[in-house]
Amino acid sequence: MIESLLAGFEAAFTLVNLAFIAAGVTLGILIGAIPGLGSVTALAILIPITFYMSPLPAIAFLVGVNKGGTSGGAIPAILLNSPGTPEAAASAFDGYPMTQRGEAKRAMKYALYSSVTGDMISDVLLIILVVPFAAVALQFGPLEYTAILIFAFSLLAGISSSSPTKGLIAIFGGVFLSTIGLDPVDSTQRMTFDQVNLYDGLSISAVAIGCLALASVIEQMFDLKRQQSAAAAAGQSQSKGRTALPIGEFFSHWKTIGRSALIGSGVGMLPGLGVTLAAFLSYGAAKRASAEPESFGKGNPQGIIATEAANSAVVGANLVPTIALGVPGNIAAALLIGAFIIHGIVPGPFMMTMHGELIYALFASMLMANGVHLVIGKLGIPIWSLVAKTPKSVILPPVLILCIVGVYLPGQSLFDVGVMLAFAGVGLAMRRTGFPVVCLVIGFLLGGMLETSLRQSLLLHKSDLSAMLGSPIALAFLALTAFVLVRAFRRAPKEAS
Amino acid sequence: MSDDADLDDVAPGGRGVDIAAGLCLAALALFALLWLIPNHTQPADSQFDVAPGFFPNLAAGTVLLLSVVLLARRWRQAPSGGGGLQVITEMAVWTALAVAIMLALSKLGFLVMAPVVIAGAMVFSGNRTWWLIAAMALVFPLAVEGAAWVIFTVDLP
Amino acid sequence: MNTLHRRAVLSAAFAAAALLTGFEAAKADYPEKPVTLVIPYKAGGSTETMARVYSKALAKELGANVVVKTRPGAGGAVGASEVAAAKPDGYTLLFAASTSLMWPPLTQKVSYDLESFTYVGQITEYQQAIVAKADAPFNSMDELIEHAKKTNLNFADQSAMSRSYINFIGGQEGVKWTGIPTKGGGEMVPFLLGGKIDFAWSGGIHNRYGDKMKVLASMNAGRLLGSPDVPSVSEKYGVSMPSQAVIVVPKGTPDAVVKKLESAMEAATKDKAFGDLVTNKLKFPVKFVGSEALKADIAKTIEGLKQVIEKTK
Repeated sequence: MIESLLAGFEAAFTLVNLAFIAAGVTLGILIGAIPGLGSVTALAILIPITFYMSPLPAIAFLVGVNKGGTSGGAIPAILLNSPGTPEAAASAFDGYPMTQRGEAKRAMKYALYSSVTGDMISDVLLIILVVPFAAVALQFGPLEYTAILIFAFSLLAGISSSSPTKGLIAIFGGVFLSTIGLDPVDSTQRMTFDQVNLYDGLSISAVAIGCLALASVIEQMFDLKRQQSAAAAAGQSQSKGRTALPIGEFFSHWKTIGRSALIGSGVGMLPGLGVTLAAFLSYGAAKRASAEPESFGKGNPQGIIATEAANSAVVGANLVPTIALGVPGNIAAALLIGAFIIHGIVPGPFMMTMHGELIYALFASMLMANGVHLVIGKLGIPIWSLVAKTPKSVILPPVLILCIVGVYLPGQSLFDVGVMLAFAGVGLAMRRTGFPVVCLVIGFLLGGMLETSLRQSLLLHKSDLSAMLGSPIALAFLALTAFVLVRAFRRAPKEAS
Repeated sequence: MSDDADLDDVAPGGRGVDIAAGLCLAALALFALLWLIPNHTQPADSQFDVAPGFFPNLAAGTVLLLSVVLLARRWRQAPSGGGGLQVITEMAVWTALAVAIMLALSKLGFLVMAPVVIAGAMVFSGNRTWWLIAAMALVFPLAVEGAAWVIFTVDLP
Repeated sequence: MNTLHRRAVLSAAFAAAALLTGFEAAKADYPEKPVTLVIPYKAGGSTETMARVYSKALAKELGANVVVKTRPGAGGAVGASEVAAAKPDGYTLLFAASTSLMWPPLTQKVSYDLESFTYVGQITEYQQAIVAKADAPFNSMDELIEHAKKTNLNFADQSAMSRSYINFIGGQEGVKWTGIPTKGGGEMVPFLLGGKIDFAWSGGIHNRYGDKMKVLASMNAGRLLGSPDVPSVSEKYGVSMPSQAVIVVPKGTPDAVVKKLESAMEAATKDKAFGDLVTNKLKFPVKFVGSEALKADIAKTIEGLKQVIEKTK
């Protein structure tokens, strides 16, 4: 394998390839930074450009786009409290408070280093695991997914611990919203009012960008309006915080880094769970594992590390099922499969044997892309931090416009824009009344997945859920759920007061 | 992030606001349980499956239950905080603005909507540097429109 | 890209004028501005990929730019609704699976019906099949049915329509099986290879799995490119699934415009890059069918579809 990898490097280490990777990473970061557009849109849009390129640079370019797109969303999350992608939402929790302390650069460095490290770990896992993985992945059916999603709910229910009741209300509100649209099993109408735009349900990006990003923008604008009488809003009083981040200090969080990268890789390897879930799970796990969970949400860099290392770790790992089985790990990987096919590479069980050389060149490109990502990301930080220095009254209005455009672009749907504007109102109301917005998004995200896999399981096992007992994987996740819940209840008396 | 801010020592969500929110949520949940779900979902196709209305009912029912819990807990507390009026004004302003944006976007197009929104929003958030406002309002929408076409081959409305 | 941009700006400038005079202009000298090709599916899927390449070839033949616009949602119904409501001047085309034009109007509430479109031509056929894992204890549709009479089998469908067809076959044979909904081939494949289900409907993804899967029946009207020995369901049950990838225009488009489009489409189908992509990479047969012949095909498919919907209600 080492030899194949070296041969891969030999094939991939060309100037052309490096240039394409760099271009891909840069474009990915830029697109990912626009609210509403993430790596999925970036890939979908840039794939046609690669139609007429030769396979390796084309795929290296797209891999760069995917990596950049996943980390780009953190930038507006940290600087403006307005995440560019749902998967970066949790980066805003601790990134924005750091920016307010004047530590924007440090926060962005944390995000970048975590992204690159998480990505690196997951790429290495990909290279090692891709061959033996296929057998394991096939063990996961609807039953196992149901157990994993129940576990995810239990872990994430407490992600916002200030008011458990309000958090739960928001989660179940999100679950309710996720049920709008054609029924996932029977395809019958469900609260769609015959509105064809609702048949697929509300768009996750419209909901998430509306209540996470845009709501935060308008909240800040209302705050600015109120402050005007007190102080001229021309410039922010930026306190000078630390900007440096020695590499040793970053790696002193190795536990969080490792855990997050593993969570991200694990989620990435299982088809269909998605980047956003990985990011939230990792954030929830870091908070639970922390000795001082109350410091999360107030500028604890571990919150950024957990989110960014996990969401970037998905990028490499989701190619495992893609290469081993021809089954995409998530939408971004599905798009990559499309690109593979265009270039005459058939993803599936024969990919390794038929296109081995190219695959190892791809692995080599991925490792190289991590280096390129680090360099380009670092170059970008001083530029981005200008945004933090610019008065909010100049930055926020264009961001508002970008939210609208970003949600419109992928589906060219004005309906989605309307949904986003409406959810910006919902998000604003929730912020002002102390309901955690992010719980709504989590409920929305998990609700749909849980419903589908639970009902698939019911059909498959003829309503007999005791079939769970026959699945060690499902049992393990249910045991973990029980563990998390018991621990939560033990801690509960403290916050009940 | 304000989501995670402590409920009790930060202004948003005093007792009055929570009670109002609880009442609203309970009303919404009841509306969903009693009218929306029964009238807008169909029965299950398969005997093994739960009905399409099962998950919506479960979610709305839980919201109802929890909002009653919230009401009950808040009711017993001493009155505190205010700011209810502020939430209502802000929501009203945003609703009007959102409707205006949608109308302008679909009827007049992006290139009319965006400059007005940018200029308005900049003035609203306290910027009074007129040349900057004019420049942003003109250059930014054009740049976005151009980029949308060149990179995405999408014509904005 | 650059010329495309310039042309778009130009066309935008003339947009207002074109709105007023578009209809007459279309008759006079079609096409004289960029043509929009709407794809009612998400970017990155096989139809969208095909359309992107095809649009280049079509543009060459038409002598005008063809701008691809994705309008995903509701299994194609969102994009189809939009095109059905568009001006019938030949400047808004829809590239879709014929399924999206038939299934929603027959089973859901949508703003278009079977008569809303004029079929210009077929480009290729989706390779739909019933498949099973290579080591499944049945090798043909008949053996599958024998097996199903003994035990209750589970199958993965990918849409309400694919489930209806399989249940229709079950109904004809008097067997009962349970459809498990999956979100596309990406979810179906691990379920099938992991042994969670017994057989599955496939929209063409099985072509990538060589000897790990076997085809039990073609769901198309004819046999499949990759397995010419396996009979089609139409041979036994008289019904087949809509399989055509077509370009349609809103009803009321002038005949001259349809004719011009049809001949441009036929020529574009012979384009090298397109042919290479579709045949060698996506593994679909390039199979152009002109407007008249296609109308007959579609009418026949609809007849079978209505029968299936009636029987599986």
